[in-house]
Amino acid sequence: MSQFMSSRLTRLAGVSLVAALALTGCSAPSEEAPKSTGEVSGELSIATTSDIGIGALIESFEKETGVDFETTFAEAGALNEQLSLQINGGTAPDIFRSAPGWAAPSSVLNLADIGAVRDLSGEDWTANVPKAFESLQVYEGGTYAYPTFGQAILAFYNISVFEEAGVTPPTTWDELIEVSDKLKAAGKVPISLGFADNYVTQFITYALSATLVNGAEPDFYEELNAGKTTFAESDGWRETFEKIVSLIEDGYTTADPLGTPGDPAMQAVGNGDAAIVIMPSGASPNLAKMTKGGWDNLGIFAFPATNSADDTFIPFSPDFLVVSSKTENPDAALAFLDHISQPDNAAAFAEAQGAIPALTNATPVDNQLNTAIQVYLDEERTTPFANHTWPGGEVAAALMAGLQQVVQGDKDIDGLLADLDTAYAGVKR
Amino acid sequence: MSTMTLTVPKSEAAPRRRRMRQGYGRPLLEVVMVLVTVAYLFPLYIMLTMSFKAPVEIAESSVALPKGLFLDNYATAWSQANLGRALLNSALITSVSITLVVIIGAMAGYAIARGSRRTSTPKLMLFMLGLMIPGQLGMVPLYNLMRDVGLLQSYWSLIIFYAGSMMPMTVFLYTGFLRAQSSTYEEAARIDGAGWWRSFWHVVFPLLRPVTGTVIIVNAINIWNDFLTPLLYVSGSVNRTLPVAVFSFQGEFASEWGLIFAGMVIAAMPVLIVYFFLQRHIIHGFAGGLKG
Repeated sequence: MSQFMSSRLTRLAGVSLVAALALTGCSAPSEEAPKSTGEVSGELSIATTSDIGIGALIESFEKETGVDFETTFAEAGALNEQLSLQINGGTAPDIFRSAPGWAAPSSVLNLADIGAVRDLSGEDWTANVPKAFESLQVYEGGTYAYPTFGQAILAFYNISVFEEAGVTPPTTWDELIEVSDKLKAAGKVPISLGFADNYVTQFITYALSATLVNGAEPDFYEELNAGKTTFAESDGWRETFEKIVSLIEDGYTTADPLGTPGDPAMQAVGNGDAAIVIMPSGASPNLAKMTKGGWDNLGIFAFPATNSADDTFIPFSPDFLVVSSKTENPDAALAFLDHISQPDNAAAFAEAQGAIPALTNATPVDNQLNTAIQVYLDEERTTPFANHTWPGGEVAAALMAGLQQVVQGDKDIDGLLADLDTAYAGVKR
Repeated sequence: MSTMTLTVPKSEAAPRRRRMRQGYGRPLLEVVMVLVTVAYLFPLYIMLTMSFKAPVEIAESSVALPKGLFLDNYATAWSQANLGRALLNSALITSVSITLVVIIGAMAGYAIARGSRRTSTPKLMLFMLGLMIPGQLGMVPLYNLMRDVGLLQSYWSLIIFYAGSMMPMTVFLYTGFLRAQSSTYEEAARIDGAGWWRSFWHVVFPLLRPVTGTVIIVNAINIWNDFLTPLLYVSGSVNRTLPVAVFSFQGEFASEWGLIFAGMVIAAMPVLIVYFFLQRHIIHGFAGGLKG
């Protein structure tokens, strides 16, 4: 190493240490007392997946009350990793995002079970929580989460491709097959499937099982939990998988679903190579960006599973915020939830997210997505995503791995149903 | 008989090798080299071209050249993920960690290399344990430790972590290098009246330049690119590093690839610029750093 580099190293060391000390000082918490203009004051920490929507609500709450927020926004997977460590370490933020039901270790009911989150039962907004969400957020009679906005699993289609093939959105299974035949004849892939990402296998599965299981066998999960039935005995679950396999085998989907990840499957609809992609509405803003013409060229319909359009159910689950049981400022945390639950605020949050308001009293949002879903909400033909009602993430893991094996030809549907039963028995409460 | 079997293949093999070099073998080798180069450059091409494409264009083809320069990706990535601050954070954490690693590692390596064989070998073994035990085993206890001492979300959590985790390899490199060096210069300095401290800093440390170069390069790249530790310790705070900031464009169900690749180009720039200016020293450091 030359003299030049040696002296540079010495200078670098000096500058780094001084800068580190200076910046560490800058980032230290302020000693200044928090402002207080109303009933609540102090500081709150919040961790969720994005500042979209909630950022403006935090700002307005800060202005109204003088409460100072420390925010953490991170991708869901990373956030869950971080929250798991923080919850175990007792340093969880005052308010944080949590998944519905029991699906993951950081899901609402798991957290309620270990006493990591606060019972919010007494809050005014609980009167406006849809009944369908009860199984996802009520634990031993207590409400443990605030539903921010809902996501539905729907079929999104490229309008230009439909017009080119001369078809309209199907409302029944037979119509779906008919439309798919015409799309095939027009040289398009009818349904884009990206099964290389195993989580994508859940979308079409839950879209079909919402109708075939929750709609047709409404007591199935109650009986399953009581040990009176099994996945293997469920006609709805068997038909769900048979329909998926038949769509693939009959050439109505991406030719190699196991070799296609989720993003390219969406891109295929965006660029017009494929017509339909089944996915959660939360991904629709991304699909709109990928599509020439944006939202104006995207259509939405509920994925049919039977030949009666009135029997179609759609999977619809909320995203949650929970309050840490260790929060040192519970009054401010509850006041913040009350703030975001106001009808206009709840609607603004959902609209910014490209989602559906979760509370029943929220101001209606007038956009394509909300219009498509509203009829199902009004007629109570929605059901939570199947995995959110299962007692542990292991069942969804068995589904994802098993369905990939079925598509690969390494397993049959009986084997997949047996895997689901084994996984369910392992986590049953 | 044995002479025949040994000499015949040898005499035939040499001209064959020559023919390979001078005849059809050379173009073949060059084709292979070109293919290998293309394989190495392809990800770089994808990163650069995708960073200049709008989402619609990416959906059309991820491999084709961009139709124009869609600079919104850079502007959005820079503002949305606060990459300026993340860049400063990464630079600061890397440089302070490296400074500590070099100073402490060189002193430890010197003490071990020049100590008595009876005591220095167990000491070196102790450091070597750090190389053998998987870092993942310490992830949760370390996180709890950082939490208990109140360092989470701060620069120091990462600086202390890196200084500690990089130390075993650093001490190993310094010790190996010093053991191969003669102690004549230090002895001369001590005869002239220099103490241990003075002879280390004024005589030994300058002699360690090649291995110090290697230590800086290897550790700096590891720290700069590390994702998991900053994700756990400083994610979500203003102190997050570049890889964590870029990761924020990864969505739950879909990713914004244009923003991700623009962020990656911005993240790679400082390293490339440093390499451009210091490439002579870096190559020298790699070539001579381990030989002693």
